[in-house]
Amino acid sequence: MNALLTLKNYYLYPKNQPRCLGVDLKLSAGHSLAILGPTGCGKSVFLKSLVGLAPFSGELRLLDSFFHHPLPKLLKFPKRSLPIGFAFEKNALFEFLSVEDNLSLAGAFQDEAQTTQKPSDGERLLKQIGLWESRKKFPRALSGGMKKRLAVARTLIKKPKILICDSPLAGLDPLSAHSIFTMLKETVNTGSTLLVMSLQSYTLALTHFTHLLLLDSSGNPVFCGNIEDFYCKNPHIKAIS
Amino acid sequence: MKTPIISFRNVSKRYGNQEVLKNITVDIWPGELTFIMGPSGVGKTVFLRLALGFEEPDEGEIHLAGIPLSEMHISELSAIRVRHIFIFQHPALFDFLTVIENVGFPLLEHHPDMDPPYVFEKAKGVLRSLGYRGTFKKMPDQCTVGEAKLVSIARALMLNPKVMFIDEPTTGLDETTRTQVDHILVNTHRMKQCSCIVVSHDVNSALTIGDRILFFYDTQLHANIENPRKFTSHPDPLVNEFFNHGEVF
Repeated sequence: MNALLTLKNYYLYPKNQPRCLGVDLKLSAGHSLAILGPTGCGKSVFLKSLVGLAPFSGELRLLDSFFHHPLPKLLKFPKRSLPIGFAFEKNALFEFLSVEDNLSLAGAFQDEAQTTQKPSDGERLLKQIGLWESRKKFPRALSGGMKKRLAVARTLIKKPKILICDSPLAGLDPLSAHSIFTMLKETVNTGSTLLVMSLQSYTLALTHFTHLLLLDSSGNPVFCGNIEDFYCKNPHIKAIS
Repeated sequence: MKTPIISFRNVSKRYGNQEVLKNITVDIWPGELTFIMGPSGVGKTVFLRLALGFEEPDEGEIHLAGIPLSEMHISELSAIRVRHIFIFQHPALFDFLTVIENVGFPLLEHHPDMDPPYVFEKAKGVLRSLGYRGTFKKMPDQCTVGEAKLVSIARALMLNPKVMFIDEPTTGLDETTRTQVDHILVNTHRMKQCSCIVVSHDVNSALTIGDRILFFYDTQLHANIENPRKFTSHPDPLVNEFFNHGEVF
């Protein structure tokens, strides 16, 4: 199986302080990587570096492209046309666009040659996330959970091969969190998508993900690899979970 | 006889055509650590805002410390708010003041005769007691989310509040910091005999440290769970679903 995301000697530079994340990590479609760590350890910076919003150095293979940066640098690639979806922690919705326009704009950014989006996709997604009735509303009229659902749905409309979500469940009530996570898991379970996601719940990470990146408070990796290896090294945790 | 801290009698609130709370009747008693829970958008935050007089109900009556809010003069309400502190979901720190100045601010504002060095020493003590490990002179935008939460709680504690209304204290925090905030709530509640009313989605916290859970759903007070530590299941499947998912998420 071809890897969609590979990291080697990967360094991040939050506040100009180099931090090594350089553990060999190879992820393919159908895999899901949970990123866990204390508040402020650099989970968001790591996710942003994968789409060119934060500098990194080292080797990164993303889909079919290989990047090697000996010095810290922002990743440069035609972001809009690649099948990568990114859901921001703070949603980043367009406040001046309605729910349905926020969704259809994301679909319109897709490269025409690659797009497989049908007009009915938007309707299906809006019904799936329970926002069909609210499709004419603007983001300011939505609750926190509704905004989050829209932000995640906006990444799904592109049918991404790599789906990156920055704390998509933070601040949600359990019912909304469950519905969003189910939506993400269903996408991964189709076998064609890789999910990379930061989260706060250790229980969720250990029971529903295939891979784990565990960071300490300084942002250094405590563990990086698949869940089975994690359990081999920490059998007492398997017993608890 | 004990007087409830907050008393809602047939309270309804709507925004335009949208009904947010409908016919709510509930008493919250002193000394309790009460959690207000429910799905997003059911009016939990509105409940808190109504209780402190930041919003007015469309119907019904609210009593704060035994006094009807509708009969309270703004000066009386301000005096009560000094002892009834609201901690916002977003830390609402002053971005032009350092951490220590933020924490010392309410004491200097309400007691202008106090000596600033004394206030700042007290502020340092409160911050340290909460487990704050950052520098005191940094600005709010240099704080992590967890630190900003601690600073906002420290700022509230400076006035020795009788009641703390806390909106989503653990949202966006990692599990370690969440547990730390839970400890702070329990310590404040027990040591300082401060009643806490907490709006939260954190089921694990509510079941571990709460004295009572008020569960809102579809504009109504759907369930009143006494003694959450002994909670196993509820006759209403919706409440069970919420709590079961909440233990994972």
